Order: sequence, then structure tokens, then C-alpha cells
Amino acid sequence: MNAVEFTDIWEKYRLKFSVNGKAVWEELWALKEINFSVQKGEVFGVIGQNGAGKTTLLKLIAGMLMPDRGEVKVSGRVSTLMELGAGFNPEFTGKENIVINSRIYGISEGEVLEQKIAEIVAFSGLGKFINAPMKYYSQGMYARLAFGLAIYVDPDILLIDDVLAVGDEEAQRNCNKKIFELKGSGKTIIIVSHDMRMINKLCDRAILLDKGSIKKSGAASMVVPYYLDMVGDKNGIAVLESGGLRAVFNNGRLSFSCANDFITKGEGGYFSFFDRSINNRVPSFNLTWQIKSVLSDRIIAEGVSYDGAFSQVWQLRLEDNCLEWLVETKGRSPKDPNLNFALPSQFNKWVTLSENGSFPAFIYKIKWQELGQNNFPEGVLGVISDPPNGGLPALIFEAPGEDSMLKVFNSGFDEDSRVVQAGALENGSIRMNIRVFASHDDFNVFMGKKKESFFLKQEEERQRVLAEEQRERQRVLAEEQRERQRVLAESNITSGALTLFVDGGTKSLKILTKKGELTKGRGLFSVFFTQKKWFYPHDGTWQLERVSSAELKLTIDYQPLNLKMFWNVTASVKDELDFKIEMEIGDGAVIVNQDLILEFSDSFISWQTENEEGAFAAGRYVNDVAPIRLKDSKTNRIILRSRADNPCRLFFGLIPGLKKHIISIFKRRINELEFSTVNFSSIIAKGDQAFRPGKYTVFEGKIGFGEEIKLEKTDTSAGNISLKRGQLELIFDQGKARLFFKNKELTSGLSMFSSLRSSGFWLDSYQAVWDICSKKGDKITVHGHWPNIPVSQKWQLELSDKNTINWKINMDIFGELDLDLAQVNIMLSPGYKSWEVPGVNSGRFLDEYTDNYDILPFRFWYGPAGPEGMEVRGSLPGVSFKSLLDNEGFRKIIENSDYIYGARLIQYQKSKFNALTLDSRLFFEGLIQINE
Amino acid sequence: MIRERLKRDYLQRRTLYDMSLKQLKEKYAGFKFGIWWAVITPVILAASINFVFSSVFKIAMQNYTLFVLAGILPWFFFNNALTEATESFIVNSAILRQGIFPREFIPLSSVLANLLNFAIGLIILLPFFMLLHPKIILLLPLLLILIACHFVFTLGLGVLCSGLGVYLRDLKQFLSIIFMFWFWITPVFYSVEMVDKRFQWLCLWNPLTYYINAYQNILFKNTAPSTQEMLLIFACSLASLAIGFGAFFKIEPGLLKRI
Repeated sequence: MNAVEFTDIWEKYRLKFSVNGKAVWEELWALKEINFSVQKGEVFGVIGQNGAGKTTLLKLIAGMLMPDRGEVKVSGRVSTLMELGAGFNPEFTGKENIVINSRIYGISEGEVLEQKIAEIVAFSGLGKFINAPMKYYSQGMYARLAFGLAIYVDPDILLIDDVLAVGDEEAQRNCNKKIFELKGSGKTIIIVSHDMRMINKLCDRAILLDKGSIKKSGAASMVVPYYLDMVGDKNGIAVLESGGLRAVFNNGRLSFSCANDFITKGEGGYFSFFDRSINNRVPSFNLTWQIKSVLSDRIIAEGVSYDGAFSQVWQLRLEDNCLEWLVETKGRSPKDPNLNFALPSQFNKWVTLSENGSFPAFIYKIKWQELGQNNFPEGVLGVISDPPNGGLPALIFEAPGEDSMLKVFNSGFDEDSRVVQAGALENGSIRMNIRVFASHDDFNVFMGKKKESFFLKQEEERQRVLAEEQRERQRVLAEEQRERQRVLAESNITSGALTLFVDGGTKSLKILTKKGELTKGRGLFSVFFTQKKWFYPHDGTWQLERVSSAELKLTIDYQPLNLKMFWNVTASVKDELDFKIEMEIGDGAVIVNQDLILEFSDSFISWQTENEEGAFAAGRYVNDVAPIRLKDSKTNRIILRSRADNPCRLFFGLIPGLKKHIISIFKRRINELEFSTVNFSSIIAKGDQAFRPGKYTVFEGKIGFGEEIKLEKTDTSAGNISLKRGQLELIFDQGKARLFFKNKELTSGLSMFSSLRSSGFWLDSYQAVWDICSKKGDKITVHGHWPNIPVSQKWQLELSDKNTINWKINMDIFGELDLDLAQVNIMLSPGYKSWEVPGVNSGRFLDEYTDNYDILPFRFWYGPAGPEGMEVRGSLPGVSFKSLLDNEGFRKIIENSDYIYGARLIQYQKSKFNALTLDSRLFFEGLIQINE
Repeated sequence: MIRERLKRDYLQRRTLYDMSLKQLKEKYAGFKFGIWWAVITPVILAASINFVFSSVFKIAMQNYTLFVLAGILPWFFFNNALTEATESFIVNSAILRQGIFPREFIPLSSVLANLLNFAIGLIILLPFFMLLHPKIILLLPLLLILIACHFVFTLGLGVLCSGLGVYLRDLKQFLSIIFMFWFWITPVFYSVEMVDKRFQWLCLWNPLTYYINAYQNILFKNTAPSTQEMLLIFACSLASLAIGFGAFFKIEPGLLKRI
């Protein structure tokens, strides 16, 4: 239902102009052919420049004027808020005026009136002034009272004519709030205002009047931009039109519409820069503008700042569907300039050549929020409303130039717009092209083409980069190859078929033959344990010196330890390399372990030491290590044999005589790769672990390669000592004492030896380092130092008569020790077949051997150590073994050894160690008697 | 259109009442004698006329003062109402800007205010007429009809003048001269019979003559006006109303623009 309806309204004024005293009457049409209607409950805006006929139109609705032609239909009670003070008698008090006016509105006295008065007084905030004559009122008070009156008389239609501008901010806010309330309660409100923001916010629809005619009518948000295009200095307004597109330049502002739908919103398109002199940003609409030229497709306009120091020239060109916008600045160069283009918030999606996304919801009231999207390939940004909203077209922004510097913002929700911003190019000019696509299909086609060419270009670029990378890689590869060859030539030493190569890259030493590398994994290397940590070659700094083609010096500097290792490799004999490893200790150090390790490929399938040989068959892996058990690990040399059809052998040995090494052979597994490993471990007795500053030779030996290599038995007597009395002979050899009677060896394997189990780990006396202290007549004294545990034993061996050996062991514990078991053993030849503990038990030995000890069928007897001894008999002279001590804590055991030694074993074992303090005591004394 | 306006006028009758009362009050606001001026003015004028015509010109008429009063009271009503109505739109332009206000109330209230003023004067002076002719009381209904007709006649002319007054600001000055002349050609202090036959037409073409004559007949002579006379008065009133409002509606749009 229409609250107000105008049908072909014409309104004329006759005006008298007095020119030089002569009166000239002129007719002026205030309104021409006005047709519109306002629906009930609508908030309707009437905008236009001064003199456009807005007030006349309102007066017609109010009935204050009557149309000259046409018909005005108004249904409902009208209340007006037009001229300030209209309808008030200044001589009367506010209250009296309210009463009089209320009567006009048909509210008679009584409760209703009283209530209305109270409401109006409360709203206007007049307080006691309500009872003062209105001539004493301020303008604001007038306005508030008028507004209060106008709304509280409960009109059906409220007319407001730009009077709300009067009054302070709070009063205005109150009024605005009230208008919103009225709008909510379904009143019809017609507003005339120059405040476009208010019109935008309040009004559903609006009409734009220009010189008495309706220029535009429709949704307020649509009509307002037309008004903004119109107002302003006429010298600074120009219009471009092409097809449905219409670009209006209005004094430093650009507005752009497509078939009556505005693409711009609020300030539209404008230039903005930071002015240092006023320390603030200046928008282009603050300049004074002059249109320089207008062609059918082009506008050139110049804007000058108030002081003339700064000017800029805009060139706008509209061709087909594309608006080109170029801004060049003159004079004082602007700081941080940019072009801004504000779009309605109905544009909700953005598209670049590589990505797309949605605009987020507004979060600030006034502040702009940058979207953070800053990758705009080719400087192209598409903006659409999805789903298509009314007639809004799709847009593509192009900011040409290498570095387009596009940015996208959400304005505050007050402005309710999206802003596309372009930064300045190198030369200070800014350019932006705006393409308009009425149909999304055209937009997609255009975008698709752009994308395609961009991706082609990108692909080309990628190919180019790839090719360049390829070339670079090849160059680097070739360089590396050359370098490697150079390094290879410089960092190796060759002796016949054998070459040792120092690989500085992986910090490893490799042994090569002409057929390839023999080593594997870490090759040949030396490690040591100090400060609770193993140190590998790669922990040090390598320095290689090639003294000559036959001599190579490698220095490994373990910087934080102040410790250096020197490798000296020389080629003397054909197919052999001699090496010497020295260690220089700067500050003194405690070295617990020191190993020389060779890891090699499985082209070697068997090994041979002086005493035994075997295959590198993989045993049981425990923690990726599968040890191969050796009968005698105190050997210095080993030969590795490759496959039968390849007779090559590798010799790896240390200089004989320095017997303080134990060899171990095992297979290792790292990440499913298996290596065979030979490990020479230095035996460093506990007492010898502290090294003073100085230079020590650690390992010295030889690597040889060839078909002819054989392992000759070396004279092992060096370092041995023997006692002989009658037919009885005892040879002490590094922690084992072998017994001979009538030149037949009674013992086997480890012979007479002692063993200790600490923390579950067995250490036998032959792994200790022995010194010979004295030899007097039939008596020798030797001193053995156990590596790794703080124990030493002093043995006294005496041939007390022709058949008897007295074995006395003193044990020193000089540190904290966890000792589980200690044993004194005699390993005897398998020629012995039966055993007896006189008066206790007797039996026969089995001729089978196991992998392990302590397994029952092969442990034939054990029992408390009594005064009686253990006796064995067989094809060899009988032997009895008897303790001379009271044997507290000892027990006796008779068993077979494991299969490696394949021997008989009789032993005294002590298991109960009460307190292991630092002490030195007699641990064992016993007699071994040979019974012929 | 006219019906709508009448309907609105009826709804806002209260405003009309307020306005008329206000104008009446304003007339004497701040005056020591207040409402008594409604009597004092005609009585003084009547007394002075009595002096001039009885003592100077020796008119022989019994109770001449009462005769003059019977005519001069309605004349004052007519004169003042028209004068005030003429400038009513100018004076009340402020209230017109209150859009909702019925414009016709402005001349109407001026006329009504003066009617009230006239009524007050009449009520105060009525006992003197009754002393002369106690039977006047029987003619009161006729008097009321006469007053009503007189009011309608005045209103018609008042509305016309109020409209013209906006266009022709010096209408008020013209009117004061016209009223001076009109006063003399209206038989207020003389009766029509006293006029020379040659000039009687002057009185007879003057519609007000019939009204004043009727007042004099009822109040002074205690005789009812003839039916012919009453019909004539009726006709004059309707004509005035029609002409007045017809013209007003005609010039109203232009009038609004000029305020």
C-alpha cells in the first residue's frame, strides 16, 4: 500500500527579479513531471543539490503546498520536521507549545497528552527548560524538542528535512537511533539529507532530484553514487560512456557504473599519498581539479594541491569493456602513493591466475583489513559476486608492470566495501586497468586465456630454469669429477696392486685394488674411548700430506681433546703398505680403549690366523653384531681369503712382539648391509689408562695383497718364561701357564688361567697384560693387569718338586668393582677320560662339547670345596688339583669346555664377595700334582 | 476533496476552538479592562453618536442610543472580523509551516474570535434592550438565526479577504477606507426610511443593510423581519460563502507559495 503517491506533479513558482529597479517576473518550475510512490513502512530518501526541489516535494507531501498539476495522494497522518522552530510560538513555554501542537495532531488533553509530554521531555533532555519560554532555547534544544514532538505524536508518515544536522553529536546520534526505531516499527519516513552516509544507512529507496526532475530512483545505495557524481565543482566533472559503462570523474574521484549498477562504492576510485608536510595521507579529492580535455573516449584532468607544490594528472580512457586509469604526479614526489578502488561488498570472491578465495567477513568498524593475499601473477586480479548478484558484473583488475604491488582490503563495515589498491611503478606513475564483464562466462573465458598464457609462460620459465639447473648440475658434476680425480691422485698411495685412498669427503680410508674397493662401510679406521665416548675418525679434522708417491701422512686433529692421531703410510715392498699410527696427547688423557678396525666386503669368505681358521659365516646377531669365537685371540695377524675361484688374499697384521692386542672377528649389520670386520683392540690395563702428554705409537703394521701370501708361524716364545724340574715343565705365556710332562702337553686351550666375571662379562687372565717380575730358581712371579676393571693379580708359580706345582694368586682391587665370580681354572687335554673327587664322587667325561659352559650334561660335577682335591685320569699322566686354603666361599666344578677348546676343565669358583673394598689379599693357593 | 477537508477540520475542531479563544484573549491580553472592551468600545461610540445626532443634529428618536447600539454591535463584528481575517495568513504564517494544520482555520478563527467578542457584548447589553421591550426574549431564536447568517456572510468575505490579503498586502489599507465609506452607507445610526429616496439605492444595494436592519428590528423595534428580508439575508450569506470559498480554493495553491 502506498503511503505517498505522486502522479505527474508539476509545481511552479513565479519569481520577481528586480533588475535596476525594474521588476521582471519569471516563472520557474520547481518540480517537473514527478512520479513516484512511497510504500507504507518504507524509509525513503530524497537527495539532490540545493534548489533541486527537495523541500518543495516534502511540502507537497505535508500539504503545505498544492501542486499546480497532477495529484498528490497521502494516506495517513503526517508529521513534519522541516524548518527549525516552525509551529512553535517563541513566547510560549516548551510545554505549552507541545500542548498546542499536540492539539493540532489531534491529541486532546488527558492522560495520553500527559504521557506524551513526559516522553518528549525525556527524549529531548530539556529538563526544567521545558517550562521556559522557547525564545530562550538554543538551536539544539529547539531541534530536539521539534524532533521529539514530531515523533511522539505518533504519525503515520514522518517527513524530515535535513534538520538533523543541527545539534551536537549525541543529539544527532539519539535522533538517528530513534529513526531506526521508527523504521523498525513500520512508520513511513521520508528524509531529505545531504548526508549520503545517513541516506545509505537509513533509506530503502531514494530518488535523486536535479533541477526539479527525478534523475534517478531506486535502491538508495544505487542512487547515492549518482548524486556523488553530480556534486562538486563543475570544472572538475567529466563523464565517459561506452556501451553500458559509465565512468564519471568528479574532482579527484572516479565512479564507475555498468548498466546502472555501480561498481564503485563510497569514495570510489581515488589516489592517495602521504604528505610529509602535514604528516597525513591526502586523498586526490582534496586537490583542486580542472578538466584539461574531454574526448569521446578519454578524459585528462589535472589536480593541484592547495599550495600548488604538488600536482597530478589523471588520464582515463574507456574503450570497449576496459577502463584505463593512469595517474602521473608532478612536483614534490609523493611518498607511498597508491590508487584505491572501492567496490560494493556484494563482490565476495577474488580470483588470481594461481589462486582464488572469498573475502572474509568485516571485522573492524572503520579500519581497513588487508587480506594478506600478495601474490598476483601478471598483476591480474578478478573480482566477482558469487552467486551472481543482480546486474553486478565481474571485474578484472590489471596493474601492469614488473612489480604490480596489488593489494586487497576489506574496508570497515561502516564503508562496507572491498578495496583494490595498486602501488606506484618505478617512475612514480600508477596504472590500473579495470575490465568489466557483464557475464561471468566472458569473465571466465578471459581469465582462462590469461591463466593459460601465464601457465605457458610459467612453464617456459620453469623449463628454462630447469635447463639452466641441468647445465649447472652438469657443470658441478664435471667439476666434482675433476676434483675427485685430482683428489684421488693426490690422496692415495699405491704399492703394486694395492692402493690406499684417503677419502676426505667421508673421512675414511679405503683399500682398493685395480678390480675395485676391498673395504666397505667405514674402511680402515682407528677409534678410541675416552671421556665416556667413542671417538671416530670423522670426529676430527683431517689434514693430508702426500710426502711422496710412496709416503702419505694423515693428521686427524680431535680439537676439543687436544689430541692428534698421525697416520703414516708408506709403500716399501711391492703389494704391501706399512702403516704406523701415532697419537699425540696434549693435555694428558685417559684412554680406556683403542682399536684398529678394518671393515671389508663379503668378497672375503674365510679367515686365517696363526692358530686357527674359519669362515665368515653369519652367526647369531646380538645387537647387530655376530662375533666369531676364537680359540686364541692374542694374535697379531690375519689373512682374509676371498672365494676359491679368486685366489687373492689380504694380509692385515701388526708388528709381532707387541702382544698387547686382542683380535676379534665379527660380522656387523647396518641397515641390512653386512660387513665383515676385523678388530685389533689394544689391551690397556687399568693402571696404564692415564696417558701423560706426549706422543705414543698406537698401532704399527702392514697390509699386503697377493696370491702368495702365507701366514708363517712366528716364534711365540718371545715374552714367554718357562720353568723346568725333572720331567715337569711349565711355560707361562701371557696369562696362561701350560704344563708339560715328559714333553707331552697335559693342558689344552687356555691351560692354567684365572677368570673374573664383572657385571656379567667374563675377562680371562690371558686378556690381561702381564709383567714378569722375577724368576728365582724354580719360582716365577708374574703380575697381570686386567684391562677395563680395576683388578690386578700377582701369580707365584713354583715347581715345589718334580711332580708338584704350587700356584698362589694374590688379587689387588684398587677401585670400585662389581665382581660376580672369580675362578681359578685348569684346562686339560681331552685325553683325560675320567674324574674323581676322592671320597665324594667320580665319573667319566663325555666327548661332546657345547656352545656354552654351565650346561648340565657337560658339567659333570660341582660341589663345595672341601679339603679333598679334584683328580683326572686318562691316557696322560693323572692330574690332581687341590686348594690349600680353607676355601670359604669356593666351590669345585668339573666340566667340559666349549667346542672351540674341546678340553676338560676343572676349577675353583668363588661367588660370594662380601665387601669389595680396596684391598690386596691372597685369593687362592693350590697344588697341582702330576701322578705318573 | 472538500469532504475530506471538512472531515479533517471536524477532527481538529479543538484546535479551532483553541485558536479562536486565543485570538480573543490576545485581543485584550494585557489590558486592564479585559473583556469589557467588547462592550466599552461600542457603548462609547454609541454614546458619542447619540451626542452628535441628538444634541447637535437634533434627531428626534426615542432611545436613540439603544438604536445605534443595536446596529453598531454587529457592524463592529463585521468590521473587525474582516480586518483581522485579511491579515490572518500573514500574521499566522509560522503556524502554517506546521504542515498538518488546516489552513481554513486561520480566517475562520479570526471570524470566530470576533463572533465571540460580539456575543459577549450582546449578552451584556441585552438586558437594556429587554428593559425597552421585555418581549424580545421571544424573538431570540430568530436573533440566533440572524447571527448565524451574519457569521456565514462575514466568513465568506473573510476567507476571500484572507486569500486576497496574501496577494495584495495593502488590501488592509484599502479595507479601512472601504469600511469608512461602508459605515456611512450602512444604516447604523439612521434608518433607511430617513434616507432621501434618491440615495436609497445606495443602501439597498448594500447587503449589510439588510442584516443591520434585521438586528435593529429585532432588538430595538421588537419586530420580526419579514420573510422576504430573511430569505434575502439567507441568499446573501450563501452567496458570500460560495464566492469566498470558491475564490479561496482557486487561489490557494498560489497563496501557499507566497507565504
